[in-house]
Amino acid sequence: MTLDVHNLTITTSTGLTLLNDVSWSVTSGGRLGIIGESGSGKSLTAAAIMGLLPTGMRATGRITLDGRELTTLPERELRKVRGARIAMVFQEPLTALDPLMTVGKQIAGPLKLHRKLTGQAARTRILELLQLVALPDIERIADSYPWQLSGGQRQRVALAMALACEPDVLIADEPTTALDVTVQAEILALLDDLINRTGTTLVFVSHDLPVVTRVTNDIIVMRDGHVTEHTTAQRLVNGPREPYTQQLFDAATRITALPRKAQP
Amino acid sequence: MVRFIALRLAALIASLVLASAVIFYVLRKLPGESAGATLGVGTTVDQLDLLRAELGTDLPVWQQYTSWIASLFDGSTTSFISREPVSELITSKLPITLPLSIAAFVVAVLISIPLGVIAGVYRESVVGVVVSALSQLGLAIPVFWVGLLLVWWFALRERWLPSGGFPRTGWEDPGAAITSLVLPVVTIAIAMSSVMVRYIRSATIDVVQSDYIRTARSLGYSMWGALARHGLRNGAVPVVAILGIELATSLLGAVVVENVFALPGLGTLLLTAVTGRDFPVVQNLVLLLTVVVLVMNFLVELLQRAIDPRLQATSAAGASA
Repeated sequence: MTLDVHNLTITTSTGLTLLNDVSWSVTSGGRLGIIGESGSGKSLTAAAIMGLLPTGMRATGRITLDGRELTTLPERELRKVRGARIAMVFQEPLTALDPLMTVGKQIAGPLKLHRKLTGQAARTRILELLQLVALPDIERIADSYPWQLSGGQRQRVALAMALACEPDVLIADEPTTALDVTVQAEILALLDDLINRTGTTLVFVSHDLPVVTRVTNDIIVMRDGHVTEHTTAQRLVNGPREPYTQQLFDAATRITALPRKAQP
Repeated sequence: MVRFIALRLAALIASLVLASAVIFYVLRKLPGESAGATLGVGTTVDQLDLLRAELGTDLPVWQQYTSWIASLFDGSTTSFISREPVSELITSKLPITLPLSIAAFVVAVLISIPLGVIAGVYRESVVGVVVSALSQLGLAIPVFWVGLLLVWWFALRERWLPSGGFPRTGWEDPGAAITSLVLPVVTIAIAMSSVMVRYIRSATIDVVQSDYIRTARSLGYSMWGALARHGLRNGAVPVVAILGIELATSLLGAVVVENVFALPGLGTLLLTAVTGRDFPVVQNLVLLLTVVVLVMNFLVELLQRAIDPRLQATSAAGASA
């Protein structure tokens, strides 16, 4: 499996360039981190891969999954990729889940869409997924509404939903930013563990340098729609760094001592 | 749930008591007086006093109020002018006003839900802008003017439909009854759907821009698929509220429109009663409209709680606290 982004440029209808000539690639089992401040284009890159750019924005360049071009794929075909081969977890788990639908039913959605699973078979898979994301009391949680769960539990549900159809690539867009620090650590450990166990390829987007270096190996640093540095977590922690990366690094270390990364 | 309904019923009764007092007091403060309005110019003071004593308007206001309230319970309120029981007057007008406002409401819902959703989903394209502009136009034009325009075109120019009135035989000739209601129904429906389209459009925009629709699309749902799965129920909560208010408003709209189309319904009854200072009729009618509005609000709240379980959770927490 290879996800290849090549010369990706995104412009608005008014001719503003939001993303300029971004290229990177990630292969099976890879863990890519995309880091940058708000407005750097990191989330836009994720949206472009999913084919879910806001109306009026246009992407040029190439995004290929195993050599198959996604940018020119008809919407119908793209829908078969979304959720099945590439799935996504978002920043705010409370609003990312439908408040008026039980968690179980929401997870059932992609299972029915891509796997044609319904009824008891779907229920079994839903409980299996809730177990996978280490939720307690899974029967009760499956029948709960998102607002009846804690922030951490919600994000676990969102992860279960994204992983429901065993996608090749999981894009996590600031998945821990909206959570308490302690919960943040739990979710990162879970994500780390899930990626290891399922062999899913991870694209992790965040502004938070310590968080990114904790779960990824390859790192892209972005600023104002450009890639300013392509490095590894190892090198980023040990230095030397590009001037902008150094700024991000200084900002992070000023707030908190950098935790050690779990794996090399 | 029982507690919720009991609380709401208590509030309903309290509102009705308050509303009845306000209606009664305001009417007494109107310039002009029942006996004078009935007898007209050139009557003697003695005649006036006689009629006042007969109608009970010579009594202190609080006494008039209590006897009115008492008459509500045994249905014995009678018109000052025709001396008929008000309940009979009202029920005789219902076969016109009820079909008129219900049909107008149904037509307005059928027009405004698809238009509002389209205006919301395609808010940045030509279709969405045109629908929004039309609803603004509908809001800006007074109801009676819409009615007059429709009469001018469909009744006077094309002669397809009657310009007003209602068959003397009522619903014995359903065809004639229905044709005489078409233009009034369309008139009210245009005014109502202009309001409703705007609310449905903004509810749709909220849903379309919501994160859970983005999540559903990231899992492989199409825009319309995601809207059907998540949007209908989420969008229904605010829309139900406005539909409830509009259903009650359609009765009020009937007051104006019946006058334009010379339909002998509740609206016409109300207007004649006000000009004749026929207080019992006015009081009972306005109170009836108040009941309808309050009951609609209550039903809307029940419906919203059925749609959104969060509302039950919050009120349960509030009740136990």
